[in-house]
Amino acid sequence: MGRDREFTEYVGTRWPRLVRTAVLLGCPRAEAEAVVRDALVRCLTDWSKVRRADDRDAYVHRVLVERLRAAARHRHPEEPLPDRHDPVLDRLHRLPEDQRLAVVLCDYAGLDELQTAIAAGLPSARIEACLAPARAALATTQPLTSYREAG
Amino acid sequence: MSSPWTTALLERTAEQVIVLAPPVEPMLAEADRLRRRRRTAVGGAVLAVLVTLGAADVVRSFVDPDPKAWPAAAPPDGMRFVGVGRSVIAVPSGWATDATRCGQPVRDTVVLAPGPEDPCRAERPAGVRSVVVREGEVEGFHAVATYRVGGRPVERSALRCAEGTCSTMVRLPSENVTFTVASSAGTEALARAEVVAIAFTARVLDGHTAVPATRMLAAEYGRSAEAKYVAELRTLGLDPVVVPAATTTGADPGTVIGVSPEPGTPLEAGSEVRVRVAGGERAPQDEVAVGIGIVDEDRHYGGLTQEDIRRGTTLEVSQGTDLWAFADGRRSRTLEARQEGDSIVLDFWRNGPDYPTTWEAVHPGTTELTLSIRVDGRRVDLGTVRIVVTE
Repeated sequence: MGRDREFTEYVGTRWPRLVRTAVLLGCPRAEAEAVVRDALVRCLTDWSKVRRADDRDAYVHRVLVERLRAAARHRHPEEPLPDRHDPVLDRLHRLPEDQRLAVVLCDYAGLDELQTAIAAGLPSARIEACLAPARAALATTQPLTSYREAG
Repeated sequence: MSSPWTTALLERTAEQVIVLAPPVEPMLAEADRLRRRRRTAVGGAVLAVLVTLGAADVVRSFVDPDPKAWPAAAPPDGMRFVGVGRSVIAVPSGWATDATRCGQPVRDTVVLAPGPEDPCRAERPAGVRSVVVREGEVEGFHAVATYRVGGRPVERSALRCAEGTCSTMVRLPSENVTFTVASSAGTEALARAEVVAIAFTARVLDGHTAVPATRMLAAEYGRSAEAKYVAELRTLGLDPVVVPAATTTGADPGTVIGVSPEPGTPLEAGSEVRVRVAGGERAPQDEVAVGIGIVDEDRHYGGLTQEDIRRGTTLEVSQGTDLWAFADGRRSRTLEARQEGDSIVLDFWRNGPDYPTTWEAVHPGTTELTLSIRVDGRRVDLGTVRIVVTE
């Protein structure tokens, strides 16, 4: 299969979840599609690396995390994040970065702990240690409380 | 293992984010454009350096260089050697010398006088290549490989890339000289290749010594800079010729304002180095009036004025013409001349008024005649004229 076709199929199935992962990781909604597009273009430019990667999803998420970090560095520290009105996003934003990466990549992006460690550029043990406090912090948000009560 | 409760929470939150269709075609086009640009960048600049070096596998050679691969004691085409003492490295000919600001290169440059390290915390600009030459121990140098070039040991440090800049250090331990080669140009692959290609050319050039740096002279020695620099040139076995500036440049008298060949250029022992010095209110050459007189076989007289000589005029004379240089003033008795070419020969009439600055035009051809005086033992050039002898 050609590179462009592989890429098109990959993007077709992953695009919405990648954009939403970017938002959960703290990227403003207005920027999320641009950041994901930037990450995917970088992956496509070196698609042979994606092909060679032991884990394609982990590789692509690693590039996405790097682009998100780069975008955050260029954002003015005083610039308000537009999604703070959502209690879950607000709680995620207030988590330490390692915890936010661990819980979003594991519990939303669908990566396992090893893939999450690769994508976040952190040791597996660190991911393991971050998950419990991150999940506990999210459990205190109102929507989850309602969901648990309803379920 | 994921947590179903947290997953459900994040899914519900994420569903509120409206996502449009992926822009696949624009992404494919953008990736193509990036790939083309990267290929062009690497194929241009690196090719220039690598091909110039005449070593297609120069990158591999850097890791395990073959002394036979680089035996030349001359720089490759389009490049020039620069360095200190006998230690040289080849850089592209168009590079500047000491073009730095706040300790950072502002364009492609070799840095002979590094000065204080990063005095204003400036960041290195993108798109710039540099070689910094340092004598003595260099902090942070750690050799990861040693090889021999031209029979002399060369040590190199690891090649590192960080924040858009790739760099490595090459050390010539026998000379106690280190070259730091760095590039922030283009992609990382391009920067790495350029750094390697340039670092590979470092070597000891036997029988040569580089023209010393002048940049920090005024700051370190003030008005005695000229004397200090001339003494250093003599110590190195070079032949200094002081050329006072025709007009003051605002520099204090005695300040070295230019050197030819430029600093860093390796020269053979005994080579002439012209040192331009700010003359101040009255330069030494102003203390003498000089001229050249001629008379042909038909007894027609002519000649050149002091202004003609300073301007470097060409004088056409016929065979059989007599020529003489004369001077008047405080230092006139020290007038001397050097000639390049044999179309005129010294007139051996020792009792003549201008001996030994008298000649006879004997062959068709061109001779360059440089007139100078002595000032406190130093030779000070007054000008060079071309004498064209016709039949």
